[in-house]
Amino acid sequence: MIELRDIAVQQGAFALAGVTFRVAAGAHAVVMGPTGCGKTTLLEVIAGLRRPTRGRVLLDGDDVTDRDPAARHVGYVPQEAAVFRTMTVRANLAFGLTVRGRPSGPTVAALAERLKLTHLLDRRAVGLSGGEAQRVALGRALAFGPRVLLLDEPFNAADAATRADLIALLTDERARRPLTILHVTHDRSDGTAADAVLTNLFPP
Amino acid sequence: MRVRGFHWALGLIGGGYVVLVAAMLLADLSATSPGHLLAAFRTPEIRAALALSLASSAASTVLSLAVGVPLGYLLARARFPGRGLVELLVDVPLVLPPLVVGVSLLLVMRGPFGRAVHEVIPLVYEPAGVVLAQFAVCGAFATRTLRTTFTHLSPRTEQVARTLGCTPWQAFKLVALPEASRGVLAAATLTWARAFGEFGPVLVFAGVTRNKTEVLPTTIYLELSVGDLETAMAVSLLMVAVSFAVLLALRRLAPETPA
Amino acid sequence: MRRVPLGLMAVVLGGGVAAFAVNRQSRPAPPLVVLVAASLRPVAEQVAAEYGEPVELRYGGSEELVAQIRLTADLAPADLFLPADASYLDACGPHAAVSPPLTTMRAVALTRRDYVPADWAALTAPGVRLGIASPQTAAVGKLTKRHLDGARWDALSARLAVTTDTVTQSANGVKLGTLDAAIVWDATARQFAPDLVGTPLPELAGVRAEVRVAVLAGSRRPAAAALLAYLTGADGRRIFAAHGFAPPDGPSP
Repeated sequence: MIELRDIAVQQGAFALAGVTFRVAAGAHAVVMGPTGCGKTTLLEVIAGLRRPTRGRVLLDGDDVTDRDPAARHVGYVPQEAAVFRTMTVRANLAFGLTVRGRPSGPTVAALAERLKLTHLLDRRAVGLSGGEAQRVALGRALAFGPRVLLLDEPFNAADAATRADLIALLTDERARRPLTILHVTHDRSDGTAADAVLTNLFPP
Repeated sequence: MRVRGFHWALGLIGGGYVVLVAAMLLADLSATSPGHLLAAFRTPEIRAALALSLASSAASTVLSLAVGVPLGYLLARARFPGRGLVELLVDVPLVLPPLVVGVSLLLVMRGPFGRAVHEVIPLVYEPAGVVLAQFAVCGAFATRTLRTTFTHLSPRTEQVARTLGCTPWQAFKLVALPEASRGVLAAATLTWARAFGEFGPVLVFAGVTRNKTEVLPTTIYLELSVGDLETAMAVSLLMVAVSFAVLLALRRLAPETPA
Repeated sequence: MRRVPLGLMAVVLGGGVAAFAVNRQSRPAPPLVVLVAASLRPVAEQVAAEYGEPVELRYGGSEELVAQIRLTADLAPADLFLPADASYLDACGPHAAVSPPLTTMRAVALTRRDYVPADWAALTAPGVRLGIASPQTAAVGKLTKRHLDGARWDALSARLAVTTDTVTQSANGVKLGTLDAAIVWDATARQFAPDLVGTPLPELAGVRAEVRVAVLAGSRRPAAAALLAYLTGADGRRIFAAHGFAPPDGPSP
């Protein structure tokens, strides 16, 4: 479950005021809104990368507002993918596990299979296409088993078939374990995949 | 065809500088002789100066990177009070005349803090002072290069690493630093070259004692002081040859992946 | 590949630090420290080689050495000061002892062998590019200006292509061909032989300077006086003479 209570962010001329919503545990919610309205900022607040000037963030009922991003167990797929380009695809996928000293072999192999990345595993992540990079970023965010997944326009470099594939993968993940997804997009067709669409979150 | 004309024009403008540098090298070459080169290389004092030059510029390069990486990172990423002042301060060694850097270091050493340091590590007119004098200037070069490097790296990968369970230190070490490796190498190259050729602060702060604080630029100064232009130019060419070798070796270390 | 630069740097740094450590450990009891004008290096090196005790020679321009004495007398004290000419001794306060003159230097006109000025008029003829060390920083400039009467100095000034920081720099200018002639000390001219030749001219005859050595006020080493005596004695004269420095004479005639 993701719950925001009266979240406000003030940074220079940009401001986000009084955002409140709740995404039920295990749901896949899509946030719609025009470019530049603060969707990315909202994800950063949930991931703990940006401190809100006001309000609380609750994940599965825990107040995590003051918790370090490393302790929130949130998978984050930023819009620009931000793959670790000095590492191999395998190291990218395994990162959340290796940094915690956990074994990564089987998890990474399975994820790579489902994301169609197996043939790229030993390649450095630097020359990947946009779609490949987004799949790596998604796999990297899922591999360590987060309770919440934050997606920022994750399919904008994917064709319709790939998109359907990835949505299926997310649905599958939610069926296998508790996972709440918050998915930011400006594309209405992404809304069809979700079981909740949040609009009008950002009062002018 | 039009592109070719454009490139020719650029080549003509930039080529003038290349010709100037090549002309200087050729002139140096004509001012000395193979005999002088060989004699210079056989002189024990000059060999000692070469060794100290290599050791001190390597040490001051590492020291410069050791402060340049954290400082460059902070200036690129962090917002803190006095940041503008810090930015100005780290540029001071780039502006100060080299002799003034040396005199300023001497003045610092006269103060209570300097005296305390000097008691533990003798610096004034000592070999370790060569490193400090080079470092005082080169730290600014390293910081400047690395600040630019980190400014051009998106903080996003580090943020993702944080959500994946990294402490800020781990994110820096595992993600930001490897991504900055080309910038670090560029900074190392620039810093080393500057340290190897540094003269003014070294002359004033470390003094000129053969077999002790003499580096190759000092040798050139010493030979010019007694009018031995041939040996001075021979040592200059030795410096050019050694720095070519080191800079080429550094370039080969550069990761081949694009930034 | 990725780890190589840092690893290599660590090795290089380690080597550098080790070199310093070895360097420091192998150093014996502190030697006498002598500040020597860079132009007197050949003399000082021979003295250090022949003198029985260890001597540490610290070189520099005479005015830089004066600054060193003023700035660091208590941090890194030196024992003796041998500047390019005795005028620099006055610039750094009282001394524990000052030697009698070790050599006397006379101003000459330095030129290439194929261009030797016959007289003063030839030296200051139109088109001659002259050089001299600056009257502000070097004794040869200061004393030449003081000795020549106004009109002669003006004639010289009109031909000056450059005033240099040190006397050796103007001599280097002649050697490189950027100057036709320079007013330098006879001892400087001998350092540039055989390429260049110094010509004494009657107009410059009175321009002379002495080299003296001083025991610095900050020196606490009795051995300093012994080195001063060595330089003043027969050995010192022999070594100065071997490098083209004339024996000292009495007051200017």
